[in-house]
Amino acid sequence: MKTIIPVGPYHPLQEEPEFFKLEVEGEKVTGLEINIGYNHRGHEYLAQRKTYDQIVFLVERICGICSTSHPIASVQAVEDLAHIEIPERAKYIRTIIAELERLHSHFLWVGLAGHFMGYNTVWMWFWRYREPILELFELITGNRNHYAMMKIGGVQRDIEEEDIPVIQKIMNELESKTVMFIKAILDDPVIAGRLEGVGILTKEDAIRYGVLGPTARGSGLAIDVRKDDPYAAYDLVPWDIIVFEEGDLLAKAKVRLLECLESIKIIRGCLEKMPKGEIETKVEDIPTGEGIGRAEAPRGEVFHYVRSDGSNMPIRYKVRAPSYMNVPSNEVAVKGYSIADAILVLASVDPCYCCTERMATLYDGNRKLTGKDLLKLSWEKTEQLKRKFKHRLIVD
Amino acid sequence: MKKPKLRELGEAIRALIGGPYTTKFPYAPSPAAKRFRGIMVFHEDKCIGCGACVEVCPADARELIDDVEKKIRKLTHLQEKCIYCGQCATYCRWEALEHTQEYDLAQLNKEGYTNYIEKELVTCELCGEVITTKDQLLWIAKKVGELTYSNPTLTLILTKELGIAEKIPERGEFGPYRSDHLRLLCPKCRRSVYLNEIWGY
Repeated sequence: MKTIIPVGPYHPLQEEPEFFKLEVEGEKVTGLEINIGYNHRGHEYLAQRKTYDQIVFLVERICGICSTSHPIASVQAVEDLAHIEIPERAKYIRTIIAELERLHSHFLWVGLAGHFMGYNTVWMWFWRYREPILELFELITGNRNHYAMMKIGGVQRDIEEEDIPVIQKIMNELESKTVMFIKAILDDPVIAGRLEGVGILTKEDAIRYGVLGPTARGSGLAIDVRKDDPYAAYDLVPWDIIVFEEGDLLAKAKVRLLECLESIKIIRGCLEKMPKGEIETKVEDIPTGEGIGRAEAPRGEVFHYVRSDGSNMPIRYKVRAPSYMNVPSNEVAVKGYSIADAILVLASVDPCYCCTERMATLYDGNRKLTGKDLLKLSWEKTEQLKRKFKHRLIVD
Repeated sequence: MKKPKLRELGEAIRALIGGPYTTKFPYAPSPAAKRFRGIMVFHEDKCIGCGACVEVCPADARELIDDVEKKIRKLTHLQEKCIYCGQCATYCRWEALEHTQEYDLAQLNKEGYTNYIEKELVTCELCGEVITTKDQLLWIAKKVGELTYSNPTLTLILTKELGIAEKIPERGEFGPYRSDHLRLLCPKCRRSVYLNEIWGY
């Protein structure tokens, strides 16, 4: 017998608005229907009514966790449009901020994964060591989140000489801890039992769904914007892509854990090589034309598109966040596993539903339903339910 | 799980001896970093009321209201709308705006949330249109130096400020006239006064 288990519209565990309809037979999941569009905030429309300098701060607020990858993609789109070359030092500062963000985001995910597994020690540990990274952000940029560091033509603030030893000290501490945690997690039989061989996303499916970031790299696809289309200082410092072939949850966790070490390596390389000098170039005019910006967020590739008519506001602004590509791949990854595993599989792509905000439109035949129609439908449904459950209603 | 893992044991002992990582915040102070962008303060003596901060604000958290009757320009910082990005403080070339390290935004009454500055406004004597604030005109006068004397509005403001202005007779009930040259005028009225002098209209 087929049963449907609704998860959402407000996810009980991930605490964000999305809707999963799990089709189950007994304990086994046989199908999944994904609904998003509960969280439309109109960022693209708003961006078309702000100046280029203001857009950076608007797109920063698309996501609270990867709050520097959107600004990087945004400023790169405008720099591509206006053919602006940024100074060397600004490139290194951008890289350091982006990698610190990747570190804290991956720590957050591993901690949450532990929490979802019912392994709260992992959660507490990782979030305890995520704290120094956030404090480092406060020291460098002035805020724990929403750093406000990016600017068209460079960066807003410089990294002071006196801060560099602090960054190095925290990186040294974090490296030994991260190595210890990776060993602790990979040795643990309970974690291995929950993750190994669960939620397999094959390479073919990964290509078919066009997944990005650690989700793709866990399925054997060696794609990474930092290597494929290097921006900032990623081609100037040594680092490697982490790829695993298995495609199960353990592979995705391994990719993220080992990427933390790579991030530390990149930050160290940047601090060593960072030259002195200017941190921004003067931007004269924004010409007519269009530009694209790509950046590797902790969850995958962020894509921004901007079209200009020569004024100080864009006439079209487009954002594509990585979770929009990653979340649909759950359809195949979740099939055939139990309900308890499904919760982990749904969380394994590190979904960010506020990034995937989309406007949903409903059609009745050829007619597009307006807000009034939807209200009317909602009222009718309430009346229907009232009639159906009349005998159960308690009326004073 | 056969035998206790030594590496995790070290972490556990450290947690046991060191206590929790969290701070006892309300009982112990938890100061923000030096560059933290907290509650904003205005420096009234430095501000000239140009309104650049209103232009650059990405969140519309700054309000500029000109009260022509009272001749006051009110620049307000709306704390509830502010995203604390620091754009206004960056672009204020007079350093009249500053982020403090205060992060406690809670207030007991609604009035506590309005943070504003009031500047004296100069209006056109003919049409009543807003010219700009007195401080900005004085700043322009200081910046352009002797060129101030080529513009009657700037000259009048500067001489009044220095206390060497001569008294100008009250204006009669007639249209733009020659004597209006030496009054505070908006650019539009100054043009009409000038054209009236040359062409008679």
